[in-house]
Amino acid sequence: MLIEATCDPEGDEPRLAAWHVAVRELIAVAAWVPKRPGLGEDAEPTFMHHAPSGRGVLGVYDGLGGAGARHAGRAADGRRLSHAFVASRLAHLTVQSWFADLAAGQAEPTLPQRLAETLGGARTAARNKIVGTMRRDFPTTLAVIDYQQAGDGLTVAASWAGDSRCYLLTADLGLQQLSKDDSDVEDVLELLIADQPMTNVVSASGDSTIHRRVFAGLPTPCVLVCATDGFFGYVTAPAMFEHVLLSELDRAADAGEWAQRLTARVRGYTSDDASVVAVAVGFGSFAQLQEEYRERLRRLTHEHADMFDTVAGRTEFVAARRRSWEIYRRNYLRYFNWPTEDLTVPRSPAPEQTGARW
Amino acid sequence: MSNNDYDATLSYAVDIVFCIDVTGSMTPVLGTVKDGALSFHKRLEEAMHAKGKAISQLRLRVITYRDFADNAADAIEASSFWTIPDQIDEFEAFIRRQRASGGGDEPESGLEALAVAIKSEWERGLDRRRHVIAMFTDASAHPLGTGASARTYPAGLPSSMDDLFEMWGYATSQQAVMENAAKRLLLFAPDTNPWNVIAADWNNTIYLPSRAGEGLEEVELAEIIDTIANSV
Repeated sequence: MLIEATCDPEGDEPRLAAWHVAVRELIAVAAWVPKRPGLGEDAEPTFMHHAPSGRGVLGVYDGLGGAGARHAGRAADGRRLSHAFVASRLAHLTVQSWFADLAAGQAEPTLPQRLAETLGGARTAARNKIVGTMRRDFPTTLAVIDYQQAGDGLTVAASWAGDSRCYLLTADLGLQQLSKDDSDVEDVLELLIADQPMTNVVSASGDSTIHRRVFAGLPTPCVLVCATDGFFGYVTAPAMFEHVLLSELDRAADAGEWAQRLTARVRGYTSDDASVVAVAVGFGSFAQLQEEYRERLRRLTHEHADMFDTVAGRTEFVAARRRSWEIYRRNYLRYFNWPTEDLTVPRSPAPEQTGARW
Repeated sequence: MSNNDYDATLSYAVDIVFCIDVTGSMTPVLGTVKDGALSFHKRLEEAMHAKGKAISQLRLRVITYRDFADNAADAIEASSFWTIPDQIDEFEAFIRRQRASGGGDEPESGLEALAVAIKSEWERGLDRRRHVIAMFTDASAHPLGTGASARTYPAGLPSSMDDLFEMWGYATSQQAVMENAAKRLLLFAPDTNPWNVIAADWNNTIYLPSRAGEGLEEVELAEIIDTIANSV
């Protein structure tokens, strides 16, 4: 992918980055915005496409700063890195390695097996004094879509753990969530308001599950999206994440500007590290992609964004948020209860005491 | 997100309740505990600010306790919530006047203090609420109900650990007092029953097993602050 990164004037550490690429009938953009430069717990997003097989993968990863606050080591430049920081990067690299082998026809080891091996290998025998049910070794979310083009259709598999999300975005029905957060609460609006704790993430502490849903014969053109909660979790209502994606698409001159605009936009509203990757499949050009979603954007603006622009006070805002969700939820939840396969991430064996420390 | 007249930015309403054992055995560490309590909210605010997380409201409450079985008259003292920064002077004055004394035998009335904390008048209206209980003790705890006949024993407390667990709540519990998304329990307590059991069985716990006479090390406090701030 072509890389457009804004660098810290004080050093070489990228503060944020936007990527874009267009090849054949694929247009991919990604935005990665760490809240604290050099310490963001979101890893860079994944996008890989294997042209000969028509297969591709996109993904995002959000290390859990609370559960993974434990010190993992220091970077070469002295940055103090947490388990959360390391976990998301390891998951990112593991998914890319898994997909490269998959595209080459090697299905084993599976993604859960690889994650268990990678995250488990990062553990040390040193015991941390701070324990409790909130704590995990190398905890991270992941949301990954792998797809296969076949004629005019698309077979898509969404894999996730935690509260990062996989979406399908179509011009007629808008954004549809393919994944389902690991939370005791299912209501998407309640998840937005309360920021519920997660009941499952990938970690080296065991008891992890990766959920997987397969969707065969999805019509193209469409857009596949993976995002961390920094992108969708700080908007005024669930519909407004789609509005962010489409309004910045509409204003952009090309894919590169769309990525840059998403990067700038999310910085204006999020309180967390944020990353998103979107892959448009089946559009002949960027202009066609824009044209295809223009009517959808107009409707979103009319039904949702305009409503929030006129509220005065919290009572009106809460009512508008509820009204927006009632309008939006029917199509958004179309795949919400799709059959799910749960894949166990095997528990890593405890590391042997060697005396070695990071 | 733009709004004409209302700032709809999602920020956090944080309530923190400190439960502090002020029995005689806490003498060597009470100064450190008080310093920890006095600085905790500032450090939490700083850590959240560094992450770009805004606090819409911050309230603090303090519950100090000794032992109903030893002297029911001074076994528990609970403040109301103070809103910070407006009432910071009241909070700091309450903390600073605490002195370690009494307590009798080794188990103390820590579970009563925890129950009173759970029953706090938590913020229920604002978005993204966080309800944090921080327990500081160097002792195990009497079974709930020890000294319950005393006039000063708080009314409406649970009578068993199972009932206390129900109040804390779990994923599908119907009788929880605490909100599942909001609650956090931070335990600085010895590796003994009931604290090690609570740390292992209750959800949303962070546990730093303490040793008699040892205070809280800076590196540990920093990691705990990070854990709370990043889970908010």
